[in-house]
Amino acid sequence: MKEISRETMEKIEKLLTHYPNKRSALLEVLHILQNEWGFIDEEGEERVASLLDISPVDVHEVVTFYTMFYRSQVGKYKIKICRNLTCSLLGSDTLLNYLRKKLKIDVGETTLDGKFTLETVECLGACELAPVMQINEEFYGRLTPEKIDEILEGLK
Amino acid sequence: MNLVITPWFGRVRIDEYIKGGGYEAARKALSMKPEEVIEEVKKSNLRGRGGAGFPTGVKWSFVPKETNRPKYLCINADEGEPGTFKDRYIMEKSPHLLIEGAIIASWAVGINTAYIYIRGEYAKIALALERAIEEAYSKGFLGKGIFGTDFNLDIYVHRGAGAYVCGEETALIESLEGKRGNPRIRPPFPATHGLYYCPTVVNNVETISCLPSIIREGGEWFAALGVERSGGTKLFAVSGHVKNPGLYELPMGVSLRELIYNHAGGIRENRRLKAVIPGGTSSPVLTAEEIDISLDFDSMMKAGTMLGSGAVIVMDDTTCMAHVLRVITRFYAHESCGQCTPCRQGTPWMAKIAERIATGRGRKGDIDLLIDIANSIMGKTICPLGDAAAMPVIAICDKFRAELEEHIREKRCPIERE
Amino acid sequence: MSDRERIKIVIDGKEVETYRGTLIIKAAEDAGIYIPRLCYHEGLRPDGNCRMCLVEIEGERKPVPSCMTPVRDGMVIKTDTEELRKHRRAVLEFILTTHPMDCPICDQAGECTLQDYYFTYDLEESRWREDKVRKPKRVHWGKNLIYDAERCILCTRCVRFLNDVIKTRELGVFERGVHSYIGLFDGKKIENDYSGNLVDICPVGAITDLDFRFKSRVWFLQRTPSICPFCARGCNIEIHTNTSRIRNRFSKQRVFRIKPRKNMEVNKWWICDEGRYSYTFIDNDRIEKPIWRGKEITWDEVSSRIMEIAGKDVRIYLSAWMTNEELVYWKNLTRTLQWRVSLVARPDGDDDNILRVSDKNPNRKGAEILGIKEERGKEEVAIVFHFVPEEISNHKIKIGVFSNKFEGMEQFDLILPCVTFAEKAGSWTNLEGRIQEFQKALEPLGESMEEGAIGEFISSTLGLSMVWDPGKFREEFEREYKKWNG
Repeated sequence: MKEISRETMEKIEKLLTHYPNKRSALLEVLHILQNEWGFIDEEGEERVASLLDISPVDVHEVVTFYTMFYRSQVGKYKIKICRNLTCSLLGSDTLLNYLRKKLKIDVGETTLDGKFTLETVECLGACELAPVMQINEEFYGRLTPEKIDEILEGLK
Repeated sequence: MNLVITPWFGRVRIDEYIKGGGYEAARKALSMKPEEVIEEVKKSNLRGRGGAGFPTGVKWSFVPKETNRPKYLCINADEGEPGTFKDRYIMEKSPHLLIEGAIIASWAVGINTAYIYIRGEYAKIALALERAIEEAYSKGFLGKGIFGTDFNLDIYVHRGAGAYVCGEETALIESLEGKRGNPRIRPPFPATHGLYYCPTVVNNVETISCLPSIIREGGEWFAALGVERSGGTKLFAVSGHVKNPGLYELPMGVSLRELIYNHAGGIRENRRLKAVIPGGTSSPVLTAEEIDISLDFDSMMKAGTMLGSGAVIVMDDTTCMAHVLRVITRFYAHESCGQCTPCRQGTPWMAKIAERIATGRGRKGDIDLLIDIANSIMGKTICPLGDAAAMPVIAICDKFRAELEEHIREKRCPIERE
Repeated sequence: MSDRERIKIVIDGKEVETYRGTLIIKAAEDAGIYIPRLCYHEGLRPDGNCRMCLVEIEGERKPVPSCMTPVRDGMVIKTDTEELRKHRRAVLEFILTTHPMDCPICDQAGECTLQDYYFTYDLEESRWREDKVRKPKRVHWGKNLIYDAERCILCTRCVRFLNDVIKTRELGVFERGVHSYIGLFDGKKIENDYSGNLVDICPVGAITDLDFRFKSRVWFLQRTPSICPFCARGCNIEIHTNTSRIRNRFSKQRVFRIKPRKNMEVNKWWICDEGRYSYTFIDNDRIEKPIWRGKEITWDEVSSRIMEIAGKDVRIYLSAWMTNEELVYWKNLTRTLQWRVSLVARPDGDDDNILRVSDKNPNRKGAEILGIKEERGKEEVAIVFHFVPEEISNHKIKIGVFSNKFEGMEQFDLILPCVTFAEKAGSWTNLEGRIQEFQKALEPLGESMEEGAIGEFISSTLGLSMVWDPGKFREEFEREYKKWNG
């Protein structure tokens, strides 16, 4: 049975009051629990299902539909580099290759020390700062290889 | 003052917002009859700024007046249309403008519960929004008995989790209900059968944010800022090969040339303009010869493109249009929800063909095949994502055909992008 | 509600009367116009996702899905324009960009909607020239279900069936876009009693039956309308047999599968798994010759055995699996012979709120109408049909009429081989009092005989002439039925 901290349970219970039925809280609950557990696997899905009185199939349907949910352990810092139009026009493809070489991993993989996971994402809504990447919740724009070095250096 | 939104940028905390005159419009709205508010919005010619451009007042009037079912407001903050970042600015720099607009809209339609559906990637902004909402509650602008009336309104923030399709109003509703973001078949429409199959209004962040000034200055004032049938100003998000990418608030009807050259500084490094996408990647591309066009809903439609979200992506002559095609088709294939046959099967097909063309592996007949696939998708899908995927393909194949043909003939990219 | 109001619409130039609120696809079908569809199934909530059923409506900008759109008074609908034909070819071509060319190894061939539609609406060459998407094939979903994700067209009929009709919700749609597939949660297999219906409703070979896998091509099957005998619901079925093209000369299999037959009043479109998969007894472990104390004998030798019971006290245990006609006949016969008659039945089992009822016999109601009661006795001779009553040892001489071998059959002195329900025609009365006919699908196996013919044999051996004339006994049953019905 997957553990949920008391603090988180309180957050979830408050969340359930926002909606007339429990199922509506699913996406929010998945975000909160992914924060706590790091990822949502089958065991997690069953836990969520029992919390919200829905079936595990319903949870799995949602977890696999949305790109932000991880189904197994990922790195501490999830580097998401945008590959959509404006970022691509301003060189994000080159930067992606730079990251691949620098971290020695490919898209979808995690560095051996568990620090960085590399992903490509679609438009992040920060096109005036292109090329853009998001690391966990932070946006970083106007990227160059040097800037990327600096940013990654600063991440403990 | 003939600006509607940007003057409020920077007034993030509620006290700063109130000092600038914030929440006066909401107070005024609650002293009017709801029908009067709707009338004012109709007069303003405010049209949906999420991309579809549907007249907001008319949308509100589709909601049944008397009903024993609860009504809902869903504010669409999913902002996924590539090139668009205007809603992010509003929520980052002036969240109370959105909240005040939500109060006005809810009062007008008889709604007591509103959800802000914000894309999951805007996690930090979601927190800031929640803080602003708390501030509003503490001042009595939300919750029970607002401004001393017996009107109650609760607003909740709800995060998405990475799905462009959830920007489509019925997919947004499905997602809010805790399900896969599968758009629904219409009819029935959200106005009568929306969230939990109750009457629901879904409005874009920018649309809602126009409401305070419409109430404060009047609908006619707002309408006069723009052009016929496209009232007010518009936030244009300019990005790409311009000197000054950023957000520009300009009256509806401003010319695209003026936006690019006078406001966004023209093309970077003094290069030549090659193409412009005027309203997010779903809008048909315009060539450099076609930018003397009025940026309003009807003129853009007449010119065979669309105003959409007002996301202007500028491309100079270093751009390979085959690559643009590849990026765009790849996006829609990635975002298709997978429910209906033409979009689920057609978008990845187009993406595969575009990929081959861009990497010098195109074949004779590929361009016509792309156009045919796109035409087979148009108008046959459950939701507009299919159309959004098809239109740019048809436009690029039409206006840049020679360049695509060169890729196929020469088996390489002539701009040596690859 | 004004849903039952009659309105007029025009479909393809033809004026049609229908009820307000009817789906266009149904109204058209009722008027003899078939609109192609993949995801629509009458018994399921419509979903409108395949887009095959789009029709044009005068005054509407875009074509609409006819499975999701109700008719309105005065609607003018076109189902067969050049645009729509082009669209259907496009939908089929789209599906075939990922659907594998499995026809040579796919059980669905010959009854595949995609195949049929390709021939009817398409016949164009595919323009797909890319690598095909690979997905899992042969996924075991539990019981007899095999799922092939490459063949799956994501019509979601299976998901809707389990969610809305059976409400067990084992399946979901996972991933997004063209990578979508249908699956179980965490490999938790399907175990409900209606799993077999998923094979029926899948329009392609994405869900196939392990029980039928690779056993026969469907165009070699003969289909006989019948009634399921496994409970008193009396679901309408079809027995599919193949007696001409057998896999090998050692195979005795004649019945290859059971399928439901649509009957809106009894079982709608469904049957339970017991009814679907319990047919092997028709071909296996059969008693094909009469048996006297463990040794096979001829029917001539049976006569001498029968004559030995003349004049003795006899109780006949008629079975609740016998037909209405057989029950009438045997009741009359036993009365003439001054024998006692009572009823033996298969014991009660579980029921659910869907189709299965606890009475596991197809014709207890027929026996009830004829006043045959479940009594027991101690007469010297017992003639037992189909099921052995617990108190059988009260009788000294035991004669059994059975179709299949079973443990404990040695206690019977004389065993007469009878046919299974698949090898005769007749009628049963279900728990609602509905008389339902079934037809003969196969010839009797070996020397087995119909229960009525056995009666004629026995009666003539004992010097009576009671002809087995099922038509006459059906009429007599219907007279009794009217009396019972009041």
